[in-house]
Amino acid sequence: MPRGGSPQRELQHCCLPGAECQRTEQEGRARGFKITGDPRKLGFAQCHRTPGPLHPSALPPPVPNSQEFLSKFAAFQGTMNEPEFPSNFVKPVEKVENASVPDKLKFNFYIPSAAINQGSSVDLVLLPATTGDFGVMPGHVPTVAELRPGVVSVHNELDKDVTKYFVSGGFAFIHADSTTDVCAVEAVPLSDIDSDAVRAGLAEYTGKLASLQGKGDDYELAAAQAGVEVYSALNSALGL
Amino acid sequence: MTYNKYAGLCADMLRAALKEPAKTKAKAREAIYYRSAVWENGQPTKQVITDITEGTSGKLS
Repeated sequence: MPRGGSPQRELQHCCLPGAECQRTEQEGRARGFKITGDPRKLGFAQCHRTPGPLHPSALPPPVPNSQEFLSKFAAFQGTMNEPEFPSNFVKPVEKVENASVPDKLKFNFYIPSAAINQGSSVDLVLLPATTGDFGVMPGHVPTVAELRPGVVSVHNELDKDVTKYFVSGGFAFIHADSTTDVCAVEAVPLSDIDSDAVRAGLAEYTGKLASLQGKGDDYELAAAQAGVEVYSALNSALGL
Repeated sequence: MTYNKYAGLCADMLRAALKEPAKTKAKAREAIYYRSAVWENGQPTKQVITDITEGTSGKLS
């Protein structure tokens, strides 16, 4: 502990390490330092000054990082604890590549009477949209798609665990965080569909559409067209 | 023909093409039953019961 001066008052060497500083008071003043004590009475520091702008040569060399400081500090450490650094109190930011794209899709599949999938983690979902078929994987662009009668394929594991449903229509929403909601009016597993009924229905509605061409009101025509659309889609879904 | 009617119609057509155990369960979902009333001066004046138990499949209007 340097003699002279209270611990509160900052003691700084003017230019050289204490024992070597032989400057006189006059010299110190000439160099621009304010001498605030009798240099001869001071022990460790030959001259000291109140805090102010330091001469560049009096500045300690800057320590590049805390590790270097600690290695130099170790020589003087004794029983003291290591000093804290601001970086000790800053949480490191974890840099993860493509942090925003999850590796599984969060999939919700709803019909009015049931939740077929709720929060399931899947690899891929194939959807039949009115604008064409498309597949959804994590990282898909946010989309709202109207669905046509067709097959929704849910790949719990890509090409390995696939469940297919026939949907009569509805909407699909793909959100920015890769949550996909499919809301259908009616959805059934392909195994629940009766092939004979599909063939019969297709024949019936094709016949109705043909007979209504040019006559019959708009509603009947539209209904017949819808029938042909649904039964053709069922036909191709079952591979008939 | 509105979108809702079209969506309902497509669903009904799908339900008509199902195999037996699934078909009866789905048909039960197709039924629409409700009672509506027109109120005047705090009193119901007209009661209308709408009961569609077969859905719209097979009918074009």
